[in-house]
Amino acid sequence: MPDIVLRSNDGADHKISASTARLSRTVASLLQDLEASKGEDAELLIVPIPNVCNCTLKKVLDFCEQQRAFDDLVRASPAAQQPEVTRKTQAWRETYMKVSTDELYHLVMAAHYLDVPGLLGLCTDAMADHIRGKSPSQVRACFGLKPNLSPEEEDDIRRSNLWALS
Amino acid sequence: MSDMTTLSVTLWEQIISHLPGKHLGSVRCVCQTSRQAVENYVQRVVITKASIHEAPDLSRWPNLQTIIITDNMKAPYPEMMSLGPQGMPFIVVCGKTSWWQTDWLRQWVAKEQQKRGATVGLLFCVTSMDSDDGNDISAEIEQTLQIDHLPIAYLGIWSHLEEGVPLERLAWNKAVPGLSNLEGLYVEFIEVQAEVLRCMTHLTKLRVLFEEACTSIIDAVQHMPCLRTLHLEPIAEDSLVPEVLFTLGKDIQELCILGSVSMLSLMDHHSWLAYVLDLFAKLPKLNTFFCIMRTDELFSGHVEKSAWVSVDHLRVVAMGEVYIAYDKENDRISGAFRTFKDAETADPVLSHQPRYPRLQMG
Repeated sequence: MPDIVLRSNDGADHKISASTARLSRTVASLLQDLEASKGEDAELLIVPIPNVCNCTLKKVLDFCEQQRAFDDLVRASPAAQQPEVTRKTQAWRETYMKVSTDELYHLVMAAHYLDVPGLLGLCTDAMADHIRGKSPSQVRACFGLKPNLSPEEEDDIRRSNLWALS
Repeated sequence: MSDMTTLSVTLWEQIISHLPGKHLGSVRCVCQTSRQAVENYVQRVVITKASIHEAPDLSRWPNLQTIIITDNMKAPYPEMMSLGPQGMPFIVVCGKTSWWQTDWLRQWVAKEQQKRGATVGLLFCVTSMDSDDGNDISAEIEQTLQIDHLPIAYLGIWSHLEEGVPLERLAWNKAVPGLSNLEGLYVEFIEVQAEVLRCMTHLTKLRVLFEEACTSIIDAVQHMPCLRTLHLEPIAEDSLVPEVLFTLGKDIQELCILGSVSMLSLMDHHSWLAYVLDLFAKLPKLNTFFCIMRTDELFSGHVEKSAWVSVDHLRVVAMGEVYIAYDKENDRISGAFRTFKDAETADPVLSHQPRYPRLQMG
């Protein structure tokens, strides 16, 4: 299948290969339907992504491109070089995830909507890092959440935590 | 700042999956959505002696699989929490066998059995046998296996062997109904603290008791034709465990060695490796072997996701090569795997800084 265009909700187009786009299960499913109806020789497809803005879509596609490159590298590398590939992947991901809390939120929502499991795991892991060691009020402050539990509910939770684990 | 109140329960569940259990208490209090996500995540609850008779609202945990009842928060050991087949109602009773007979718990078991159709009910009952305890082990087993005619597939015996326990209390009554249907058995005959291990005089006395207990197990297991799973807490004497295993283990398919105070922690890597390979060589049907090490992380309730390792069908390729996962931080080998990938992916804790010694066989 030829390249396709993903269009963000603010009208920006991103041309990528179909194989990269398929890292998003949402897009892959759409492409599968289109192939079934039009065949593989369809003209350049423009796929609107209504829930994702240009900036976030670009970031998501960066991940997909890089993920695909690493997958190719893993397949091509002999076993002895695998640890080095893994190290490079981890280093790239660490740099990639240096984003603000706000960007992280948009990224996690996009990864969820586009159903990119690798990216979603990475983002939720980063969000978990923000939570570690923090009290509930600190977590709320970090994520800009307003408390919506009643004092009675909070009391109940605290009491149940005394004996209910995991 | 974005409105993170739009994070769905599903996304919170994803976030939670990266956190050790000890953080979940805080997450539960953040907001309604995070609270629901934590409730969905809960698979085990621990109920203390003090609250055993208060019926908890179990409906708040839709994925609850295990209820653990304990008389103190040191027990049950985290290893116990992770035992038993997945997806079965699973109860651990640490202390009095009669505790499980509270109405709410029996109702939960009945409901779970109904929900899971033909799946047998699973009762994991742990008994103690202190020197001042009048019961013998046979009576405990009989009592457990006959509770309400509950079909029991898995039985656990957790008995303190202490000086002064009459040996006749260790004898198993092989005529107990239900014993022959057991598919799984957990045995821990002793709880030894590290300082006790250093006291060799005491250990020698315990060894005598343990040898008697092993003889009793070997004798009893001959009458368990369905036994496929064995979870064993060995004492720190390397000669005894194989003796038990190789006598009873012809049909054992899954073996778990709990490594907390076992010989495993005392062996060097090469001895350990030889031991694992010997197990596969001598137990013809063994296809799964795993070893659980105790860490603080385990106590946080994050056991099955991060800290135990398993092998599938290792036997099939045991004559080729075996990869051993080595926990560098704790200086222990913690599992044997069919492929490098299995070793790497089986335990995310190990995958951070792995070192996998490779063994070429035969």
